[in-house]
Amino acid sequence: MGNRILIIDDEEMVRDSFLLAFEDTEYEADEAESGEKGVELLRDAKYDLIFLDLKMPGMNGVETLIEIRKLDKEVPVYIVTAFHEEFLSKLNELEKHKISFELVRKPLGRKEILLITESVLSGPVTL
Amino acid sequence: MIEIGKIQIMDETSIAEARNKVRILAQDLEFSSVDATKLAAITSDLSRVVYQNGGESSIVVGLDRTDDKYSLALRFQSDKKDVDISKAGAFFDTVCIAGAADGQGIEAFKAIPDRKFRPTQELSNRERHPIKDESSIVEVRNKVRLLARKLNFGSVEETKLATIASDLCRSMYQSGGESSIVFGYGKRDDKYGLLLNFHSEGKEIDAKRAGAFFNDVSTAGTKGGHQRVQAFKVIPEPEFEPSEEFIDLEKERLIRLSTAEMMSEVSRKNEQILQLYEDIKKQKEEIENWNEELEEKVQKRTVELEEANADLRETTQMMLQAEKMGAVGTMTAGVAHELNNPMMGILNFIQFCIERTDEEDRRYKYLRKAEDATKRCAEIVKNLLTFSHMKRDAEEFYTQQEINVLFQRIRDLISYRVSGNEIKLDIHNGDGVPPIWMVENNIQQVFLNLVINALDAIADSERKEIRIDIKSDGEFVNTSISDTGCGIDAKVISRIFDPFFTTKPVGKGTGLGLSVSRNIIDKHGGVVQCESEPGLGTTFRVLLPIEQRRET
Repeated sequence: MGNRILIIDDEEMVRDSFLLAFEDTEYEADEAESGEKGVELLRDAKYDLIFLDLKMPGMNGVETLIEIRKLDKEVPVYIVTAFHEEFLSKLNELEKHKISFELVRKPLGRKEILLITESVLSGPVTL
Repeated sequence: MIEIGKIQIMDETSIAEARNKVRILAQDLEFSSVDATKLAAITSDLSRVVYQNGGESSIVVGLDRTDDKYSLALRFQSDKKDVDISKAGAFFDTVCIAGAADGQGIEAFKAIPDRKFRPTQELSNRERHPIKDESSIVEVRNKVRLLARKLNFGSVEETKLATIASDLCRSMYQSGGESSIVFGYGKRDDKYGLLLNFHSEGKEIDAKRAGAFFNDVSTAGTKGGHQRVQAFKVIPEPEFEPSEEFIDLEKERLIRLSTAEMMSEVSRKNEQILQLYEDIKKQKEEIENWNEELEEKVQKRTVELEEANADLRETTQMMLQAEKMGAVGTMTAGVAHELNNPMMGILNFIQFCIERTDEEDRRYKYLRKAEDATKRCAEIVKNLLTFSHMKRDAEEFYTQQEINVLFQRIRDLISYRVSGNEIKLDIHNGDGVPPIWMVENNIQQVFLNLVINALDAIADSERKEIRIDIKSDGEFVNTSISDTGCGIDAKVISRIFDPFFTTKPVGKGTGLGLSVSRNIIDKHGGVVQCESEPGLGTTFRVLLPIEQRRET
């Protein structure tokens, strides 16, 4: 069975970007249009990698990450962001509380998405 | 004519003497100060006329009785010529020619004003006299008579006043109740008069008894209550009567005013005039000095104002610039954020299509172009965000790094542009250059930016050289990036750090590179400078502080 990936982003275009990148690959991708939906999915299934948006209506990325970590302390979480200032200090706080995550900068292209995914799930690769 | 003084007119001094003597006599005769001055002035004028006629001339000052009234009399006399009467003017009551036998003269008369009543402390006693019995009425009668005498009422009037006062007092006394009288002098309509104030607590006072003798009678009070009657009789102004003592006193007084005294008076006056002249001279000097000082001050202030004005203009300019930058930053940040998500979609959709398009397909080429264009858009947005983020430093992570390391990375990054293009890129790292605290990505972005600019500049040059020097410079690490490129026009060099300023063709530069670079360097407490000679090349110098350290 292939690895399972969860994409949490309120923007359909961004979710589509990830889904298209994973099409015809061994990865199985699920999408959630809000933090709440993402956490719900996480309760029922285990994921190997999560791409998380920071700025969302309802639960934002930071709040969602806290909830994710309550359910799964191990799963790698990549916060995909254009560096919103209002969340950056909160991200620093998360680091202090040993809540692990990675940061990647928007916009991500198809190759970057696959590169990140592959390096996380199958070890370092080169383009 | 009662002669009081005679003055021989021989010179200007004696004219002044005559003038003063007339003034003093006029004042003693109670002429008003205006009339006394006029009399003195006419005296000196006429004395001068008499004196200029030549020969013996004199003026006699005295009193004379004409038309049943005493007048001040002046007799001007000359033994040579007629004295011009017209000079005496209309001021005098009478002017006539006198002493025809031994020369010519005129006599001038001015009526002496009536004696005026003058209030004194002695007369101002306004005691209340209660009417208790017949003897107190007699006492009031006597006291009113005495006061009336002192106030120059004639003996007839004095008796009348005393009688009316005692009659009214008696009628009050007989009416019963307490009663009293106060008397003294008072003033009504600029005229002094004797005042009788009757006061009764019991019955109405019969004011008719006061009769028409008084100038004014007023009553006040309520029927059956307090009653008051006030009677006012104007004090007479008697005609002037020269007594023996008055004439003797005046003669003595006028003689005392000797020539010597006049002379000392004149010299005193002269001294005063000299003093006045000195004072005026001093004041004038002071004013001139003051004027000079003022002019100096005004000049100094003008310079200060001009400087302040220039400062203000500069500050205003800077503030406008800062405000502009702030507004641009906020706006671009907002726009850039909004662009990011759709751009990520576009990029991925294009890339998805590329994956599924045969390279031989004509569409493939254009999809690639669309991909490049989108990437370029993404790059612009990234720059805009970096630019707008420069004001805030919450997210930046400072680490210690050597600048040389950054340049080795940059060399790798741009190697594709250097190799095969006959470009000489030299990096000289000085001895003992310490690592500095920096946000590594930002500083690398700055230097990459400057190197790319240098590469663009030398693209069409014959000599294609870029030299990078890194060395310690006091508290700073000094990095210079020199190229042998086209250089920067002096006209635009002051604007190269402005946001959106670019000389590159459309699509080749965002005009944000140097602006972002400078913001990054500013934030690190550093400085960036640019020197350029058009046609020869450009040097950018970046000074970054060694000790600058930020908490992460």
